[in-house]
Amino acid sequence: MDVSVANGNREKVSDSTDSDSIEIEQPEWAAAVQDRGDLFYVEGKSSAERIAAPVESKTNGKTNEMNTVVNNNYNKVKGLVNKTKHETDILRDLLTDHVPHSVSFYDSPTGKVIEVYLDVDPTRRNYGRRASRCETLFGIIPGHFSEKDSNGLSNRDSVDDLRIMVQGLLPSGEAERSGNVKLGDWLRCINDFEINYNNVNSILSAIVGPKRVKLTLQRFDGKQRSPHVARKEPINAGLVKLVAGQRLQEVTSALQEVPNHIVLYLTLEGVSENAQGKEDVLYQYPAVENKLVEIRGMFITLVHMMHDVTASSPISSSLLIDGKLVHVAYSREGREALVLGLPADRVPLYQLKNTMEDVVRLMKVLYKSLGSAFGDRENKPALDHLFSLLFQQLLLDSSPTTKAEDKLMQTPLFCSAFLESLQAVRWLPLPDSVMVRINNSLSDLEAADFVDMSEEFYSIRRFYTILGTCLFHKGYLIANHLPKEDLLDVALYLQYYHLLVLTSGDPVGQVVVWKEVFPTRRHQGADEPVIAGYTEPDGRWFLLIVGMMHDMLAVLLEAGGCATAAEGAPKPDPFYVDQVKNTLLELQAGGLAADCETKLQSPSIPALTAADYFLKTASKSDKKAESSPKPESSPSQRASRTDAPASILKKRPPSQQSSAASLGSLAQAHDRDSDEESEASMQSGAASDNSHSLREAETPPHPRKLTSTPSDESGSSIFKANKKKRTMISATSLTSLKKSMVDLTVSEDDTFPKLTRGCENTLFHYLSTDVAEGVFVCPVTSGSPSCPLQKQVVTNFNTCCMAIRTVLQQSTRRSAQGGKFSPDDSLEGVGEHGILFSCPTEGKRGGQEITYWVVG
Amino acid sequence: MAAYLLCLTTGGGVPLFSRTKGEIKTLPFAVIGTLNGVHMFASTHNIELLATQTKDAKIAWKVCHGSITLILVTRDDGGSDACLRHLLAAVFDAMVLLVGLDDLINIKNVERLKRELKCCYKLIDCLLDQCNSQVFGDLTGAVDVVLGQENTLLQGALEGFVEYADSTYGCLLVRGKVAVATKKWWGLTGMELVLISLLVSTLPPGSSRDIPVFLPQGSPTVPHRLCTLQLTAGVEACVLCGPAPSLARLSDELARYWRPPYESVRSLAQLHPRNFSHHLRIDPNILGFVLVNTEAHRCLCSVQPRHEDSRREGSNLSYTRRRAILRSFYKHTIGHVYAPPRLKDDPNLGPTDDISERLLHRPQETYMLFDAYKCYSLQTAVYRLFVLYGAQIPHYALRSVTRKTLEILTKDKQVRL
Repeated sequence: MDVSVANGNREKVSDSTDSDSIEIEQPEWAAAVQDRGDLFYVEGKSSAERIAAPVESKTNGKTNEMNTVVNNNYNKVKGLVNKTKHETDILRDLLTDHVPHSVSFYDSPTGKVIEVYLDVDPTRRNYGRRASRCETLFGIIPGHFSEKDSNGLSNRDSVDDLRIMVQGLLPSGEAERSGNVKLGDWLRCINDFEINYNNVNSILSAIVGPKRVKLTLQRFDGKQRSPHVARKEPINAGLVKLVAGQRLQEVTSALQEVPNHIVLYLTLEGVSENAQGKEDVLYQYPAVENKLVEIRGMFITLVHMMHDVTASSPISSSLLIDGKLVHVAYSREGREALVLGLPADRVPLYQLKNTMEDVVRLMKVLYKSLGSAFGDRENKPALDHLFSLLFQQLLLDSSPTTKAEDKLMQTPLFCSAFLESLQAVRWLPLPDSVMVRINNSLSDLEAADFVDMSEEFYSIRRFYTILGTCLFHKGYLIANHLPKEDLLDVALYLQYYHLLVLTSGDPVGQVVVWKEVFPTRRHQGADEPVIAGYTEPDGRWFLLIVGMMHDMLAVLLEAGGCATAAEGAPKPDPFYVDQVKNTLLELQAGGLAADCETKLQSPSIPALTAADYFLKTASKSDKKAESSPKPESSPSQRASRTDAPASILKKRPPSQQSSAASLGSLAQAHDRDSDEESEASMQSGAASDNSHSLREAETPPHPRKLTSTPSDESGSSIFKANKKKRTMISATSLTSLKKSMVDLTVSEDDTFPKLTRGCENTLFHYLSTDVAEGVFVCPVTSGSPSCPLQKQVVTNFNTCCMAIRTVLQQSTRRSAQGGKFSPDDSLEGVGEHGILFSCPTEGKRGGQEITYWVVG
Repeated sequence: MAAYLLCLTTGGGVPLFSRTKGEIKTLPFAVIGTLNGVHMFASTHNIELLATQTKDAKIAWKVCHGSITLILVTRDDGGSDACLRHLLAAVFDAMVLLVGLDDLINIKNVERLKRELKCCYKLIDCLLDQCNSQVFGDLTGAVDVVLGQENTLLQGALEGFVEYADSTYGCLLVRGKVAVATKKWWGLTGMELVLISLLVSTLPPGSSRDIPVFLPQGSPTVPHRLCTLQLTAGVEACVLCGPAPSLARLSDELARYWRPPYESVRSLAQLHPRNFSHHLRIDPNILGFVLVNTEAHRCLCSVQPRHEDSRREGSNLSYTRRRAILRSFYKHTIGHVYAPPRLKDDPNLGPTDDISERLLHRPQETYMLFDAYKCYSLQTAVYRLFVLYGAQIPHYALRSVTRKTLEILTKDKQVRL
């Protein structure tokens, strides 16, 4: 697939405009558009399961008749974008190019043998150059058996095993249409010929014309089916349904088993004394009674009384219910309050507070204010949907995140709790050349220069101005053309509706979301214009999200301002949807997925290592160091000694000293260490300019041995690259927002003596947040099962980040507060905070250290 | 520290007393009632309200033995809940220490109890008024000590004196800090040690005292006599004893036991405010430190580790400020990084939600760097050391100096913490 196809698609579209053939084909999502004009349409990979869920929103409630004039124009434009079938084909091509999901199998002799007759026509269908015969003819994606043989049989079977397994079914392929072929079936015979991987192509190539073919399949009953097979479908389909709000009932019942969680929106208004009813509850989810509902009176009292006691409104409470700790977070608006309660063993307090902030912000973005969000009964289904997703994610172990975890090894979802509370978007930096291309595409879209297809061509004032776009791939931010606040709004929406999770898993067919929003930037804190004499145009804003495969493009549209003021409740404009879709296709055709994959798969810069690795090497190298007492002169030994303490500063853990320093002869190890130290110092030094200069100021006293060996140079070159990249990041942020920027960089190191010098690296994990841009960078951890320790380390790391971040935030916040209680200034101006860990595993001590930088 | 402490009966919600610290207005009665009311309302639904956090304050509720409700309102200093819980436990134990558990559990006459509790005010105020406190014991749950050099001599004198008092519990206090104590004395729980030391230092000065005390854990219902006898300015000998001998007889015998080591006692008195022996030399960059022995419940603190004026190096931090910084650093570290010390006396502590419990690996060291000073802390199996440095010390030296300091302070043969 290349760009020309996409262009061809466009030409075709314009062809149809020229000939003015008014055969309006409604897009797939058209039926899902609500009266209010909102759309939330999610389509799974297979076109067979198409789910559209209504998500209502609060709009001004004006009737649609008001904009008949607009509608007339509308139809005209709609006619322009008469969609051809072609695009669907493109999509299908893309789908087939994608490597299907891995399905594995139990080897079992007992299986039901099924015979299926398929009418095939090799001439009819062409899935593209890469499709195998099997796919072309039957729509079956062939696969190997016993890749994950849980019978304990070794992998050699998989080498010998030439049997063909049905690994996937192509949408609307013959096999899928027949309904009798299931994933995981063993394709034994075709027209009674025994087939295997060696002969399948030759047998299939014999089929040249339309023909009826008999397939013999052996099926294994569900019990014997490996969990992977059993789970395969639910993941995608289930998640799609979930996101689309189809499984609301299911989730609700599952949630009932988890006690003590609630969302309440309470009011003091019009509540009589001893009210037995629930007049004070404006909104409640889940609707079941529990203790937290019973004591809602306490929440509302607390919320309103606290001001008298402490001159500030409450944030959270801790309760003990049946011996279980439950945290409750509050958000007050006028005489009403939103209460969110969650059990502490699932959601720690700091996470709850962040969730609360996010929810409030999201509510304000979607509905303008908490009152309008919860006050309007019509919003209830939409809110139920949102909160079911929220609880599902937070409380249920079988949540999509954890379930999908095995599948997407690359996404460290186990630490998502912290990352999500960062108020930033995960950013995947791509090479410049790729970025240029992506940015070009996005800019083209934003320019809204659609030539003869634009409204201008028809002398109509344009409906929307495109304010900006941002592009996500598999949940990572790729490119952003939005201001930070808007980006965060969009990201929150995507996150809380699980759309990011959805795309990071299996590819989705199509996602179209259309929603009127109230961006934070324009509705809060807009008291004084930032630039004198300029005020943001007064209009309405709409969020359009289009997703395909792993990619998602969010577009913020503005009506009003220089575009037509929107009236009533505009429906999603197919023209804009298609434009966005085209851009996505163009990007995908340009190899976006491949670029991102390369980036995701490639060892990250700065290179990381797994903690477990050191455990293995440590014992060996210890021995080696011991057995080879270096006949080095004592001065050099002393030099390396002095280096070791210096290492503290450079985030070197003590394990070196405690385990190795006891042996007096570890000069060699120390030498290596000092090399790594300077590397490590660069890692952290590059994190921010400030810390960098600090580092440099410190390094001179220490003999640096970077140039001593070639391998050292290779090591340092890695870090130079790293340094460049990182300074670039921090440089932009520094200039843009010097003072308030909190640039945190965290590095964890380990100093086990290495067997080979220079080629290893001691950075486990890092995280760099840029509050100014609202993005953070963190490596894609390979949470492979072989590294349980690495997983621990990363989890620990995230917990710690949380603690450290709290400290840092407090220290910056304090200066601005003037409460009843005089602020404690003794910890003001924290510059750096570090924690050193040791994890005792197998008698070895692995130390990691975390450091934080604040520039300001 | 600005704080409110409210004490009410759990049954009737009758206020027993309320203490206000810092420059804040006292709470109106209605607000006190509501604060207690929300807690009572929750408990009628079998839910216990533990704490509430606002933007800059924290409120904690605690019901002790089903009869006394304590409500603490204090500034949110970023410290963990562990410190707050510890403070509440200390307040209740202070009440037990002076009034006895029986009177607190079976409240027959509220008015009488109110009067009895008046004697606790000073001690409780001292617990609340953390920043001005000279000691760290209230925070660490480990009693402050003085590390003197000639302890063997003093130990002998103390043992003899305590034996004469027909007791096994006795110690020598230097301005509220324990210099030497009998083995049994060290057997008391950390909280008891801290509270008795604090009590003695809050009592009005006098050459000798004799007051009844209950041991919150040891004997919460049977009172003992706490006799203190001043040896020299700032140094007192304390004995926990039964009805005999009388205070007069004890003071008569005072000279017999304490005349021989009098010079040692005097030199001990001079250790204040350095608090540890002059022969131990620590790094000049250290502005102050707290060393906690978590097993023996002892802690050593010093914000004047040097003789000469420490203003020499441009560190213009007052001693009070140094103490405040160390306190804040401690509060931030305990619960957030290090696990809080478990209180033996609080079996029904219930589940907590400290960040430290979520850490999978054991933290060993932590530090914070500030514009004007630096803090470093490390913990071993037994010890926790928190050190405050001036800004001059280079970063890389922090770790080694801290380690060395720990070594100096703990490895000395003559003086053991």
